[in-house]
Amino acid sequence: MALENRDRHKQIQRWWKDFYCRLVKIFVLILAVTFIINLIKKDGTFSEEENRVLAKRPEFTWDSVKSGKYMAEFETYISDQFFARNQWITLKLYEDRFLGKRESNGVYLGKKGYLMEAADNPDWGNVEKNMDSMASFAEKYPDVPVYLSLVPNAAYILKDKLPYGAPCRDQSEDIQKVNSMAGDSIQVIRVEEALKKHAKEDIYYRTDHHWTSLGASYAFEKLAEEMKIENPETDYQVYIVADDFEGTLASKSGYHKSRDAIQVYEPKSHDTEYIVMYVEEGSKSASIYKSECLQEKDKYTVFFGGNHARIDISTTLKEERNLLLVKDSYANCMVQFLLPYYQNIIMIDPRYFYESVDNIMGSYGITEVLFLYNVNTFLGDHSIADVLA
Amino acid sequence: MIFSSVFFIFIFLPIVLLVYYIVPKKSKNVVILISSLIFYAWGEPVYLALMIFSIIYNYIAGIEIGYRRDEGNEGRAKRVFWMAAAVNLLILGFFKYYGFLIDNLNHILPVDIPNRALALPIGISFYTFQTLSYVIDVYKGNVEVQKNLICFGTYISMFPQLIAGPIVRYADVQSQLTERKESLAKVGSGTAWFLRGLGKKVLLANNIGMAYDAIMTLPEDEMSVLAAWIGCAAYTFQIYFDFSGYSDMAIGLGKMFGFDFMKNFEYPYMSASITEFWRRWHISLGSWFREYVYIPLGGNRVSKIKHIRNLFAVWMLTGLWHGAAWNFIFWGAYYGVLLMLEKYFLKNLLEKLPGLVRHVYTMVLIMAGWVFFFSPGIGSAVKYIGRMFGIGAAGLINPAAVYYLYNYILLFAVLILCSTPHTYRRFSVFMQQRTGRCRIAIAAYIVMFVLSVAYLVNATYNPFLYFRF
Repeated sequence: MALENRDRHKQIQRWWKDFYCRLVKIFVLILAVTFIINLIKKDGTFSEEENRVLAKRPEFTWDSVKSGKYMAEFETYISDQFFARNQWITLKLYEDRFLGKRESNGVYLGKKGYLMEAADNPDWGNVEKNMDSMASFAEKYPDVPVYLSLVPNAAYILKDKLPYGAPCRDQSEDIQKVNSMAGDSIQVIRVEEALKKHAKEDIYYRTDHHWTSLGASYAFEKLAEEMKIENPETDYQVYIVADDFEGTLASKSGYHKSRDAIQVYEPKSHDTEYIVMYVEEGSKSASIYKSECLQEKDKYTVFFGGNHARIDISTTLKEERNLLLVKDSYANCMVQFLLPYYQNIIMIDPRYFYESVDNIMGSYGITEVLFLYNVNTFLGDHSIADVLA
Repeated sequence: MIFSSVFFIFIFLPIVLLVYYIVPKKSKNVVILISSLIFYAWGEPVYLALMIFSIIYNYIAGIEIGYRRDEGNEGRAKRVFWMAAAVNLLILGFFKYYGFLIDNLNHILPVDIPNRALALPIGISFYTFQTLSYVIDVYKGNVEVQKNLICFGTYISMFPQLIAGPIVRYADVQSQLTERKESLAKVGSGTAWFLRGLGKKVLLANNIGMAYDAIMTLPEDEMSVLAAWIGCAAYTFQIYFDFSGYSDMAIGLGKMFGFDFMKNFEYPYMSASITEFWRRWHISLGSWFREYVYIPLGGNRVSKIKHIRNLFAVWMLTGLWHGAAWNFIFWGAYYGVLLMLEKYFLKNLLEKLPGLVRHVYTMVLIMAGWVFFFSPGIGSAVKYIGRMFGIGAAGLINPAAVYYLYNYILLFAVLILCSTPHTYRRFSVFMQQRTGRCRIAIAAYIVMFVLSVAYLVNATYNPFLYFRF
């Protein structure tokens, strides 16, 4: 018996030794092969999947080493340029789904193929700073009405499509809070009800964090009413320009089950001629749409080719109504509705615009100002106060 | 630099291993020392000077204590020792507790001393305790003076345990610094430790950490009793798998270079009493305090009053070691009280209770303890614990809590299984039954590695809890 035990003990020890020796060989092999692949692999510059520029090898300077910046950037570089990066990320998303998570990288996997982003917790101190600067801006131009309209996210408007119980900020409450900060000089235009009424329709993309043109059209009805646009168009020719759109939320979550259609709206009774100037870029165009963007991954950029620091649109309208539109990307698909009623629309995106807003106010004879933002971007914005200062 | 990063695993480690194993034996410590200094400087280059100062200062202090003793000048040796202890503690105190002290002074005295927050040098709490263990043991004559600066520097800065322990006592590694045997099987065993630790940290701790983060951002009116328990349970698992995973990786890396460090965790959540919990949790810290504070004060071989004083001294310090804030001190005192109660009152009662009841008693107290640990202050901790028991909670159960329970129920099951020794034991027994199963076992480790790497490449989520300490 004792002998048998000793034999068994020896056998187990042998097993462990065998196991360890083989494990380390494979581990070292994996490390070596990975090292070599990463070394000879060409660096990518842009990740389509993540829609961002990948980190480049940082420059080696004494200062950047001393401050630790070099090391931090080098780590990001190695991680960003790791071989088969997209496949690794896909594997991670499979792991998440295997665990039964109803969200992936901060995106809810909702019902009916809807992907929805959870709204961030706002930094109210910063919001107040923005609101204060907007109020003093509005007071500087007492004759110019200043409007603010905030568009909620899909997760709030399409609440019933969220996974059961998934927490979601009450964005109406957030808008109410912004409203109470706004004072008398800013008129807040609330579009939540208008959107909620049509929650059964495709007012948000399933795979992207933006609203659709249809969603914008319902909000426009409300804007037209409040901004005193007379006889707004009610009849549109709708064109479907893409039906295989896979937006940023699909990339972010790695969940590739749905496709979206992108529509553009053309007013039937207004035939407006206009010219679009991309001021920073110094280019001109006869259309607010960029059809070449439909060949790219982010097809929402069909509206103006994405965000720009400043875009000037001049129309042939005789009436002197000039709009300054301070905005994020949600506004890009709203402009098609605003176009027929203004002689000039100056769009600025404070995240990229560093010049003086006062200059624009004077030299274009701006008659009204509209801040049009998604609630989430607005509550997280760190550029509005600076650009108005 | 942290172990659970693509850079460490696929760049730093292969290079260091390669260099370590091609240089001759006498240069191996130099390789470890240099790579440790690079490792340390990687995150905060400015503090490299502090590390080098610590090494050189304590090296000289050790030599001088030995020299004065050989000279027969015991008084001088004593002065050098106290000086060295004071310098080490002052450095730690300056970087870690100065801000806390000033805040409190400003609060209670009619003064307003300007205060600026200093970045905490990485691992300072860990390596200060290591240098202290050296000077104390040299002074007490328990260990020989280390005359080789490279060896001494290697001990203090050794990158495997530099930033999060285990706290290796000099006496335990003294001989390993000069004579240690590396072998293929040992490197293999190190690999197994490392991969297990990586899996614990990346697959388990980081994932359940997301549940904790999500619950903590819930607005108050969503905090039901169930949500509060999920949040607390998530943290309970996160801190264990995070810290023990990191310790396992450290032990594994040590083995890859021929070192044997002590085990730092022994399935702490299996404990049936708080006393047992502290024998299984962060073992290297507990034994450090026992060796260098508790026993020198007289331990339990003194009057009851003095014993209680000793217990409290150790536990206030343990709390304070974890962070410069009142809730950590309270957390330490909380365990001091519990251990004293168990020792003097509950011991007999507990022994009579069935195992399950004892286990529930222990876990509830541990979880309540973690609330003090993770809360920003004592007030909010009390509020949180209140919610766990229905006081001020938004009902018993709410949709958000159900959502998180549903999202994480499978992970919770895995976490519970991995908190017991049975899972790993069963795995080992099954694999050992036949030699052919060796391959299955290897495949299991590699799969775990690949699954972890997927998370590291994704790396949007890789915070490391123990950096604060």
